[in-house]
Parts: sequence; structure tokens; C-alpha cells
Amino acid sequence: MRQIDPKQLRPAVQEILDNDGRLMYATGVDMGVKGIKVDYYFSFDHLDRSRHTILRTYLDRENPAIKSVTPLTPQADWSEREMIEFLGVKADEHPNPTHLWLPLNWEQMYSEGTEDRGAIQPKPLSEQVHDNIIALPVTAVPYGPYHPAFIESNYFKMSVEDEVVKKADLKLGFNHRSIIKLMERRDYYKDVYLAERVCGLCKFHHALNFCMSVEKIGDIQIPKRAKLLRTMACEMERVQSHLMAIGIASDLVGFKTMLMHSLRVREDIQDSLELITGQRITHGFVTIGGVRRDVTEAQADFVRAKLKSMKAAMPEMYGQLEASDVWVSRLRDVGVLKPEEAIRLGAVGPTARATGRRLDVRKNSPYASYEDLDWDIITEKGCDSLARMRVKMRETMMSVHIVEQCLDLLRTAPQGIQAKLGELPCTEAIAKTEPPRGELLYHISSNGTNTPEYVRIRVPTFMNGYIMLKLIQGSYVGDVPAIMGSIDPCFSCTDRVTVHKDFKVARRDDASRD
Amino acid sequence: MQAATDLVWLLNPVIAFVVGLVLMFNLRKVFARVQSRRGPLLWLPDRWKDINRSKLLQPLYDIEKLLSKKTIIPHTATPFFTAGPIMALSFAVLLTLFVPVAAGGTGAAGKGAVDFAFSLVIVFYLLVGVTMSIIIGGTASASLFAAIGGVREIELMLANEIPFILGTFALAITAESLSVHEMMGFNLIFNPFAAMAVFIAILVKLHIKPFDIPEADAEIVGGLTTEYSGKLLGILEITKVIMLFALSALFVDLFLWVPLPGLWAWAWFLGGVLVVGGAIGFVNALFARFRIDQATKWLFRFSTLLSLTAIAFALIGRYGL
Repeated sequence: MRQIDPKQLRPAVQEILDNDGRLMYATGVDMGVKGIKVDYYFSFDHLDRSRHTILRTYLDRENPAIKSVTPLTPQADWSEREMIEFLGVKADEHPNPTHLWLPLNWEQMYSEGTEDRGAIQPKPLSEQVHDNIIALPVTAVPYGPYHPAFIESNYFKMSVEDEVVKKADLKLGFNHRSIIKLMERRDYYKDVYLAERVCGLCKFHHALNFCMSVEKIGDIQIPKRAKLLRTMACEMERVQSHLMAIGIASDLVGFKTMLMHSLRVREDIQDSLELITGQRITHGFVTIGGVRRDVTEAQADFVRAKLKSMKAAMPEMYGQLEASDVWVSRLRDVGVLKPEEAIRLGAVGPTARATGRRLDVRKNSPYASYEDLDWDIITEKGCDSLARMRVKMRETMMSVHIVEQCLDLLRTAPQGIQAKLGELPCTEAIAKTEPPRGELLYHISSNGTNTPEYVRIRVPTFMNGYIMLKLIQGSYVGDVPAIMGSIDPCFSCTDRVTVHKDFKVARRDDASRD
Repeated sequence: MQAATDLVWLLNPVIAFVVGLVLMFNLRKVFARVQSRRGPLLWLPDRWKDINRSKLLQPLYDIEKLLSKKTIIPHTATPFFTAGPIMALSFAVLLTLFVPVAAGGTGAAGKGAVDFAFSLVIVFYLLVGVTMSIIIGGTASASLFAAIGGVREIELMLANEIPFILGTFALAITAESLSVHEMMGFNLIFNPFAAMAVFIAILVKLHIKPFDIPEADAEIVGGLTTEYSGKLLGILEITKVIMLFALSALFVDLFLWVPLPGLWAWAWFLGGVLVVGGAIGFVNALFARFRIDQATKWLFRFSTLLSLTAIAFALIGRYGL
């Protein structure tokens, strides 16, 4: 971690980018008297194992202004817009400072000259709100807030000429539940369950990542058996999420039959998860210092039998998909993300791996027991939607292979699934995992009490959703669902953000001045 | 007495609706079975009464439900919005009068339909009339999705009409007549190319899976029918049921017909219609959706080539080399 002056930010970021670093996330925290703390998270783990850098700078609370780094790298675009909206940080020279999360009746981006310094004034809802997404004199096709192409609600608008999308913009925030803020008010054990509810499909990874960050803070060594069980649950979750993604992408290009078949195949892994953890959707399996339940040999046999039937059913289903000319022709050469673009825009997960980039947190910054197992990163060279689907297909097979190894190793692993916990010191930690959609980052700071001081989450769709918009621009209207299906965005994850601004403190300041 | 039996074709719309409902059930059942679902049930065990009550008449219940609901008319819509579905339904009803139903008898009553020397041309116009009415009604709603759906529908229609007309004209060349009744026969053997071209054209007209682009729900939320609700949507559903019957029956008449007397004709006709309906259901389940440019390209290339081959085949068969 490096602390720098706000004025030095741009040269420092440029230097890191020149050294092939990836900007993962940028976020701020209102620290009261000390000012607004702004962190820029960089990762070098695709070059050196587990190497990360955080640039930290403090801004004046009265006039939080920063030079935007978005002109240097588009990877910072959404992060800085988030800071602008929720923290009131003025990112000067940001190319596109428009609303992403806040409702449309919050017209002003900044709040100069208002009485309530800092707070943006919303327009009354009775007035007609100004639609600030796209106002061009061309056909504007709205997708959302509720649209069959999205499972979740968000507002996506495209300006279309001759069936070609000229411009696309996205409005998030419909699933906003202030989870980060809620975490600051609950103790660590309850936060595990909150983290699990950030997303419906990568829930185990969220809970695991929270626990890993806390374990790093407390320097807790978890037992080998717990590590194996965590790895196993992670991979089972990857299988069910990818099968769901493949099915939904097929449905979006009109292949409803394959959605039904992928759900049928997925039922086996859901049954196994239910047997092991007790629940189908939110598992409550992982806890700080280990896992909460052990897997008996009888349960392991059940899972083995289910995996065996899946190992036959999945290649059969994928063969049927690949044999369907219409399905392949809808995805081939659609939404091409060139390898250099993937690096520039900061793609993660299957989206990056479909461009031939070996980017996988499981190998780059290993966690749980991935180092002890026999597996490899799956990459494809196609760069298009079809390659992204193929990466997902092959990853499910690899995941089944990993789960089988875990089950075998569990036979000889020593008993004991939870570590002893001590007091948590005053420090902070980041941890990363690889959910089905890409890289997940948690940053937790503890202040010696039983609640975290703050929690920050960067979800994979934060990067891939931005790329999705870029890919949609210039494609046909008919290709938009195919691109969305292959990127597999999760907007509930992306909406996890919270209002950082501590209004209580601000009001107290006012009172003391009076 | 003689006059009354001559007017038996007046029952055709009723037959079309009733058999159309069975065909709709058949379509849904085949679709569900291919997807390894159960689908609507033929026979319901007593112990399932609390779980699932969908049965043979489920398509009828769906239409009843729509007809009993409130119709919402958007304030941007013109009067054509309400006129469109009614026009489409009347075209479809008229169409059934010209499609022979179990034409097993002799004389005017045995033809099973109104028949002129040029009835095939009337069938063409009525088929286009149904599609055009739906396009007019849908685009009158001023909905953006309906506009995109309408454009796609017209593009698809332009690409589809040529193979359909050429395919049926191949039979007309063989039969030396434009009367549907005189063209009837087991032409699947005599001109398989025409049969394929017409079957593909029927798939496009019914918006079956590779060609359901105008009503793609993931892209344009139902296309032309986006703004329809309640009774108007119910009328459109009835039109769909009748069209499913009329086109399946037309295929049976033109390509699968064997002249049989009395009840045997009915058995053959209904069996043939069910087989064609089942084939349509299979195609619906086994394909993903084309993009509009892919579909038009494919229709212009493959389907038109097929229908031209059919014409050449018919010409060689009729006049020799």
C-alpha cells in the first residue's frame, strides 16, 4: 500500500498502468476529521502471484476534488461515477459524469450552492423527470426497468438506426439494498449471512470472501478439511451457475428447449448442494474460521453418484448445443472482444478467458486448497460470444473434476472443520475469490469492535457490465440478447453499493456551528 | 334437402376452431415432451387434482381467460388497433371456407369447401390478409416494439411469399388447374421439393421457432402483440388457432391426401392434420431463433431454390424433357 498526495495520483496511476497493472476498483470512505479516504486497488497477480497495490489518498471533506483517472484507463469509469454519486467527490475531467445508480429525479451531479452542503437535491417525483440516459433524435429502444431479456431489473436504453445500435447506456440501482452500510452495523457473524445475500448465483463466494478477509485480519489459519470443503462448495456453485447461464443464454437466442434441459441437468448439482449444506439457494455453509458442517462418507457417495451422471449428461447437452447450426450462428462473431481491448477495459472471468487471457484468481492468487489440486485455467481463442459460452461449458467439466478430487482427499483429511478465533486487531485486509462470473474483491477494515468499520465489495459484473455496453454499441438489435447472455451480467451484485455519506456526522457539524 | 348438404362447408370455421384447439394442445404437448417436461395432460389422475388441472382443453381455457379480462387500449392507438384483430379473425374464418375438410364425398357437398377454378389464388390473398391485418393493428398501437416487430414481419413475409407461391404452383402445373380441390393428392411422393418448400413456408407463416423473429420475446417483448390485452388478445389467439388448423389442413390436402370414402376420409384427414401438427411442434422445440438477416438470407437462398426445383420437377413431369 502506498499513500500519496491527491495531486500525485495521475502520474502514480500512469506508472502502475505502464507496468501492466490492472485497476480493479476505486472507492472512497468518509473518515470524518481525516477527510475522505480514496483507495485505488491495483492487481499484478497475472504477472506475479498474489501481488497487489493500493494507492491511498485523503481528500478535504469541504471540497473533495480529485483528478479523474478515467482518461488514462476506462477501467476506472464506473468506480469514479460511483464515488461522484455516493460520496460527492468531484472527479475533474471525467469524460461522462452521469448518473448510474441514483434515481432519475436526482438531476444534479454535483451540489454547488445548495444550502445542505453535500446533499444532492432530488426533484419532487410529481414533476416529469428528465430522462438523462439518452436524448437523441433517433429511435431509442428501452430495455427495462422490467424486460424479458433481463432476469433482474435495470434500465437499459439504446439508440437504434437501421437495426444497428449507435449508443447504449445503462441505469442501475433498481436492486439497491445498502448491504455495505448494513454490514457496518452488524457483527461479523451476521455479516457472513448478509454477504451471502448479495447475489443469488454466486452467494457462496460472497460469504467465503467475507470470511477470508476477516481471517486475514485476525490471522486465522483454517484447517485443511475446511479448506477442501470450501473448494468443493465453490466448484459446485460454479457448475450450477454456469449451467444456468448457458441455459439462459440459449433461451435469449430462442432455444427454450436447452434452457429446460440445462435446468434438468443442474438439478443434480442442486440436490448435492442441498444434501451437503441443507439448502438449495443460500447455504449458510461457510463461517469465519472454517465451515459449519462436515461431509460424511455417505453424503460424499451420493455426490459422487450425482457427479457421475452429470459427467455423462453435460457433454451430451453441450454436443446438442454445438450441433445446432442456428444456435452457433447466432453466437459466432457476435460481440467480438479483441484481446487488447479486453486488457484495456479490464475484463475478468470467463469474458477475459474467452480472449485467451490466463486470468483466474484461483491460480493467480490461490485461496482455499486450489494449489493442492490438479486443474488448469480454461481459455478459448475465439473472443466472441460463442467462445465465452465454450469457456463456461468446459469450466463446468473442470469443476466436476475438482469436486471429485476434493471428495477423494476428504477421506484422508484430518478431522476438524473450524479454527479457534481470537480477538480481531485494528487493521484492514483485502481478499479475492473467483466466482463464476470473474474476480470478486472484498476490502474490510476492523476497528477493534465486533463490527467492521467499513466493507467494500467489487463484483465481477462491475467490469464486465461496462464491457457489455461497449460490445453492444455497433451491434444489431437482434444480437443484444446474445451478447448479454454470453457476458452473463449480474446486476443485483453490481447494485450492492450503499450511500457512503455519513449524514449523521454532517448534521452534528451544523449544530455545533450554530 | 340437396341445398342443405351443399352448404356443409359453412361448418368449416367451427371444425377449424375445434380441431385447431386439439392441434394447439398437440403442439404444446410435443414442445413440452421434447423439453422433458410433462406439458398439459390428456388424462388427470385424481390425486393430482390439487397440483395440476391443465388438460386437453387448456388452449380453450387460455382463450376464455383472455376474453373475460379487461382490454386496455393505449391512448396513442388509432382505431385500427381494435379493427386489426377483428379483420385478422374474419380473414382467417374466410380462409377456412376455402380449405377442403375431409373431401371424401362426391359432388359439391363432398368437396368439403367452397371451390372455384381459381381458389388457390384466393387462399394466397386471404393468408396475406391475415398477416397484414395483424401488422396494421400492431403498428397502430404506436409501440416501439410493435414497430420493430412489424418491420421484421414484413421482411419475413417478402422473403417467404415467393417459395410458398412457387411451391404450390408446382402442383398447379401438374394438375393443370388452380382449384385446390383438383390439386389434392399424395403429392409428397410426386413432388417432394414442393412439399418441403411449402412446409417451410407454413413454419414461417405460423412463427414457428427458427422463424419466430417478429414475436421474439427476449428481444422485442412479443413484437406486434406487445400492447394487446384482454379480448383483443383473445381474438388474436383464436386467429392463431384457426390459422394453425387451416395451414396444417392445407398441407394435408395438397401433399398427403388419399381419396377415401366417407368416415375413412375423416380419419385420414384428422390423422394427417395431427401428424403435420406434431411435425410443426418438433421443429418448434428443436431450433433456436434466427436473426432477421439470417432468416431472410436463408429463405431467399435455400427455400427459393427448393421451390424453383419443385417448379422444374413439375414442368419435366408434365411436359417431359
